[in-house]
Amino acid sequence: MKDVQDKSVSAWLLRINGHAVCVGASELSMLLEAPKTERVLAAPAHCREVMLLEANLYPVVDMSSLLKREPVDSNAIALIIYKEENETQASYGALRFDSIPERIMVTDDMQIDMDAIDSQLRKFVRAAFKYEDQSVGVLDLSEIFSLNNF
Amino acid sequence: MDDYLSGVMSVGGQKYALPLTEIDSIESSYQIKVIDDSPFLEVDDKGVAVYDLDENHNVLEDKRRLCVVIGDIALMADEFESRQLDKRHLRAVPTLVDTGVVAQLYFSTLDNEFIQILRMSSLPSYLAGEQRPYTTDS
Repeated sequence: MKDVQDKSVSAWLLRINGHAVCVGASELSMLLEAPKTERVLAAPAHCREVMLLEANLYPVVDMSSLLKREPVDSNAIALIIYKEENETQASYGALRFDSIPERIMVTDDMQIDMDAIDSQLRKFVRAAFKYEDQSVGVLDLSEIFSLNNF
Repeated sequence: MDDYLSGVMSVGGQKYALPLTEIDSIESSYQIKVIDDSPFLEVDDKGVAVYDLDENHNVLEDKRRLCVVIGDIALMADEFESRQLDKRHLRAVPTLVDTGVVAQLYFSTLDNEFIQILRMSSLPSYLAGEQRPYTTDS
């Protein structure tokens, strides 16, 4: 039992377009309800807004467009910290999600096959696990905020 | 050298800036003519296509607007002003900088103002592709 506890990591369980997904506890910097956002001209469909927060601008990704789904009516935004490959400095971005996240603990033995994740979502997920009968995808944040999607 | 002079247009609640030197004239939307659903202005004996950056504004009925003429195009605007923008307050969003028509996103920490700085070289192709001249109701 002690061994399992040592290997557990803390994460935030979120819902994005109805999908259960998670980010590491240290990857979620802030949760915001209806922060100030602005539309950006000619920006890609999944990132048409920026969020203004404490004298900084953050791109706001709405994954419904990446998942080819209708947008969910929610004002909840998470300020995310992520690290791009070969970059030493962390980057910031904002992500729309459906509802209030839940703090959970994840252990190695919860891991499941990636096939359990929705095929559209799978591209943006780097691992999967089972939590209370839900298949949860671990978001690949550098992929979501990557220029490849723009 | 931290300031530069810009024309700032208000369009549908958003603000767009461009170098003042790029602007040829400001005209009134009263002067707009329409041929084959395409609105244009006659400026110096040539036809200038009129566009609207506000996606929600697609009618020609509002005659109280301005047309900012930039070379061969004119952009509709609700308001226009020339302004010194302070480069020290420029904030870039890395993932969005190289994507669309927007070169830089300006955010003033002084008055919580958000202005998008138009990339002039991308504007004609953007308007020709993504954004069509608005159409009339009739």
